[in-house]
Amino acid sequence: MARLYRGEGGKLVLDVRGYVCPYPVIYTKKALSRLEENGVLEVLIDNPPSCETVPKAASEEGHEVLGVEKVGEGVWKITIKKKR
Amino acid sequence: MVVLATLEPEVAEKKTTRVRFTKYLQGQLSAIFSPSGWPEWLGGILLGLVNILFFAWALKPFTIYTGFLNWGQHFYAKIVGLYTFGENLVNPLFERTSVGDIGLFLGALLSALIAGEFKLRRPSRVIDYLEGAIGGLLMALGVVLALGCNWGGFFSAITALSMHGYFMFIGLIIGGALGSYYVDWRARRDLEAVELELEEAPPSLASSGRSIPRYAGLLALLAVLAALSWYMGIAPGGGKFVGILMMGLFVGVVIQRSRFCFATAFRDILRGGAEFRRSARLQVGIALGIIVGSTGVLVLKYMGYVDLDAYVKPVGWSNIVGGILFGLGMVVAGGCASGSLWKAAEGHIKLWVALLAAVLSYAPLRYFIREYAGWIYGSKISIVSSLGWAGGIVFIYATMVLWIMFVLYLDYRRGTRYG
Repeated sequence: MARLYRGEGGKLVLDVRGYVCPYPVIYTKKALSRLEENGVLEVLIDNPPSCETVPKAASEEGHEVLGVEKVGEGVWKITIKKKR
Repeated sequence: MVVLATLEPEVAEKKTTRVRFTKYLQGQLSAIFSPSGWPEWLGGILLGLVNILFFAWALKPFTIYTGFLNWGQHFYAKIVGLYTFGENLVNPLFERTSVGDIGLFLGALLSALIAGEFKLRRPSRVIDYLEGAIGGLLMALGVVLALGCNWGGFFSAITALSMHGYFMFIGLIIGGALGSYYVDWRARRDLEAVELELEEAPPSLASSGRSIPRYAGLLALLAVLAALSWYMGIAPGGGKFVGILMMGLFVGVVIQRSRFCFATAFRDILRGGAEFRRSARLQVGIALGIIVGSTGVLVLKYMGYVDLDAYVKPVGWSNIVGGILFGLGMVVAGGCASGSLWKAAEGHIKLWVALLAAVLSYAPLRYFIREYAGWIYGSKISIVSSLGWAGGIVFIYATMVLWIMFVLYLDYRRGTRYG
């Protein structure tokens, strides 16, 4: 199940491991809507195409993608800063 | 001592700048096998090229479900003891489509292992297993009606200059859009269940699946490839199948790298879903692949290298209905025919379920519908026979360019709306 956690320093952590396209993108957008401006969201994914689609969808909506980082074999962490 | 002291910084500098060859190789490889993948247009063109090559080599286009038929027939005959769905079974390692499928699976696995993207991924909810099974079933039924999957009924059908590809194309556009309604519903339903926990503890990284050591995996895969090639190669006429295996491998690598997902391409294009831009890029890639592939097959057919009517299949309403069912099924399952093989190779267990459902249902569905409802199929229409050599290829170019323009227009409109 997709889970949303409150991480350190007020940032949110969205865990969508186990989900394939297009759900990681949909849930990322939803999680971003729960953030204040300049808040940070970390998305954990394990679906390779989402490494590209999640950052692209976020920047398409005007948010700032701070990084895509591999945190384990087949697991990535995408860090997004909310804008607007 | 003085001399040494002056030399030392230089030596130290050299040590830090020189990289070991293996590290250098890793760097080169990880640029090609990076998480962002290859562009979709490149994937489409490469798939168009291998489509021509495969047709010339195997004397049939690159398709997928005939392999599933072979596997299903083996299951029913050898395990259940039911020979109704097929007799005189061909060894799966000497059946052209089946070998291509095995190649695709191993190619996607190879690519995923090199990129460090292989992991056993258990779906997070039970409904995913159900989606895999229902999606696989819908796809198998769609293939029976459309006379092919997204390859044999659409991509490879148009490149083989058969009209039935266009009919499934229409069905896929509708079915994909229907699928996107389902995705919306499922996402809404899931979002209600998403909890905002006020815990400090971040999710554990080790919990959601298992990966295998990359080098062990690569070595095992190469051993399997070598064993398969050897086994096929020593059989009389078996060299052909080694070539087919290699081409399937190529398709698998290209599809895994360019994330060439027909489900995404048709799901988000009409209704502008969450991954609309990717679906637009994929549609352009598919159309480019069809342009490249049909040009090559035109040459093969014109020069008489393959028969003019090779892979020309019946056309009718059943192809559209099949396309709709297949389109819906692939969106629900999360992968088309090639996508199921690729994602299963990446370790998505949901797609294993989809593959299993498709393999087990395709042979009986195909048998019963052909036996008792054969009237649903239309008659064969070859694009070249009806429009001529020049007319036929111009028709394909024109329709594909128009489709690309339409897709780009949708993208443009969306772009302006979002400022």
